[in-house]
Amino acid sequence: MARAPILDIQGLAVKFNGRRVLKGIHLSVEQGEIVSLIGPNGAGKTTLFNAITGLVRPSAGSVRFCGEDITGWPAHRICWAGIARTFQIARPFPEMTAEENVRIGIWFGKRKKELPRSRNTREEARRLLHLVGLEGKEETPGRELTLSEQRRLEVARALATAPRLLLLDEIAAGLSPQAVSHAARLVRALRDQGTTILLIDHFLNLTARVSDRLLALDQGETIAEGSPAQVLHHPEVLSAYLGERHPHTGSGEIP
Amino acid sequence: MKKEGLRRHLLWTLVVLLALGLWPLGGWHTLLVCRVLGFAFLFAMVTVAWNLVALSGLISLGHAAYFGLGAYAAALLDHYSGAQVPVTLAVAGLSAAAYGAVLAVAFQRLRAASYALATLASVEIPKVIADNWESFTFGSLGLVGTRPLPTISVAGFAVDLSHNIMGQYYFLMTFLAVACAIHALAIHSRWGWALRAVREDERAAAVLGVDVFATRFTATVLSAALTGVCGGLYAHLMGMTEPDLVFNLHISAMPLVFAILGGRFRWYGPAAGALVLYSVDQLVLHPWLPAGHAAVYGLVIMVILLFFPKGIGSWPAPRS
Ligand SMILES: Nc1ncnc2c1ncn2[C@@H]1O[C@H](COP(=O)(O)OP(=O)(O)O)[C@@H](O)[C@H]1O
Ligand SMILES: [Mg+2]
Repeated sequence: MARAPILDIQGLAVKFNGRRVLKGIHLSVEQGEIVSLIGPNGAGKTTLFNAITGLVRPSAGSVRFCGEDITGWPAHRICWAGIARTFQIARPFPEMTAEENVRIGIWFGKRKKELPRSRNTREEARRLLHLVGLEGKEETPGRELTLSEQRRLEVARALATAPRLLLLDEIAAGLSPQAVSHAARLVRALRDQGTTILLIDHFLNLTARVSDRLLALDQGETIAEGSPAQVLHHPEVLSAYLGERHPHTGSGEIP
Repeated sequence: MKKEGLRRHLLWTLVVLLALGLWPLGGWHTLLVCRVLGFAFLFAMVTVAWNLVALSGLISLGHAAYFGLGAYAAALLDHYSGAQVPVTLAVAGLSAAAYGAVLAVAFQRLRAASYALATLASVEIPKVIADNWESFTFGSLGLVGTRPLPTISVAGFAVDLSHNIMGQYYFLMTFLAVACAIHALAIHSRWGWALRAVREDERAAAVLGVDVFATRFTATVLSAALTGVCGGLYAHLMGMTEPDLVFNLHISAMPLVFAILGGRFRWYGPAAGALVLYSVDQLVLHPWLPAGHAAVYGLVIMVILLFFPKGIGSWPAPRS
């Protein structure tokens, strides 16, 4: 393939107080792909997202996005470049309404001069809330939403920044089967509109249904990479998961 | 904000502005009241300035540093160069802004109690310099004889801002109005939304494209500049500047009390809190209870907190 990958991670390492939490991850994602990150709790999946989005400084390695080296950029510039994320443990703005939460993403998600001059941000925010199934909650303050509503708000808010690459951290954990189907449809629809998606799916709710490719992490290292069938039956992946308390069973609340 | 709420806000603002603007013209004021309210405007401006930083989610305990720097900048410039008052005030604001910029960079990783402590300590540096550089600042004796506010010409009338107490009253009121306008922007503009996002969840704000550092930096520098101008005004009003007077812990703590009691999240809250509390303390509690006024002042603060947990500024607004 001649085309450069949209995301290209080389030898990415992260240390916390001398402890190596990520030990040289390589990952490259093509435009329009859906890639899943799986692995047991504490494998370093969320830390990888934090390093990509500028919330954690890598101790080694590089992150290139659309050909540009974004390693060490501040978080807001990475957002402007076109990467958005959700938080595993939702972080709504507690005193703002759901609609205001989303409008922050619309207003600040791109450089000021790149924003269209006159646009109806209110309408746009409502459309995004509708898309994630939060219609009727527009005026509810962030802190009054239920946990599952807060997680959907995370998705709407990330989409509000009009990302080219969307990082979803455990959006399907603890959801009902219908809600998982809804999430899977949403993820596919976003990809069809041209958004590239990297998703963390510890409980393997979404992975098999939507991903083109899987990356399995354990203790900060890649233990398998490939198609869903290859990775899910890889002996190291099985043993990493079986070493845990709750293996393949569909749902479970995030810790 | 809802239309209905906006109308009530505007109405209340108008009523208060008319009352403050017109009552001295009625002739039943006393000069003492005007003088006290003039100082209330000055301290309200410090409170409004302090709240700019608070709106970004940081509680500063060091605004005396900016106030004192502003006072010393104005007094020293006046003493050594005889510069005119507009110049001394501008330099007062700029000096404090420069210190604010340095602190905003130095303290960018500090939050909550560590930030409060660091700002508290930041007062000591300029204070120790003012206290000990005797050949330049006259040490703990301070500077005396700073020129009073000048006579200005308003619509053909000469108004002596130092002796004409009414003139002084309107002059200081104008400064407060400017501070309130900036404060209103810090709540209702695009920058205001950035401040709010940073205050409510800094990491979420950052990944949604809000430049957290720039947002806080702007707030801190503007706040320091306004506080520095207040210090400069104080030096000219009092005619003297001493380290213990202008780098006083009381000046750092006062805006915290006034702003929290007035309501931190409304554009008029900090100013309202300062005007009401300062005047009640000076005009009512001081004369009636020269000895026990501080205790009653404390009682007033507690009663307000009990009945208006969101500050007295929340009273005229519609219930939500
Ligand atoms: N801010 C942090 N400080 C110290 N250790 C951290 C921090 N964030 C994550 N860790 C540690 O890094 C490891 C990986 O965590 P994380 O990336 O959240 O795992 P996952 O998302 O795969 O469950 C865990 O052992 C966790 O305790
Ligand atoms: Mg995680």
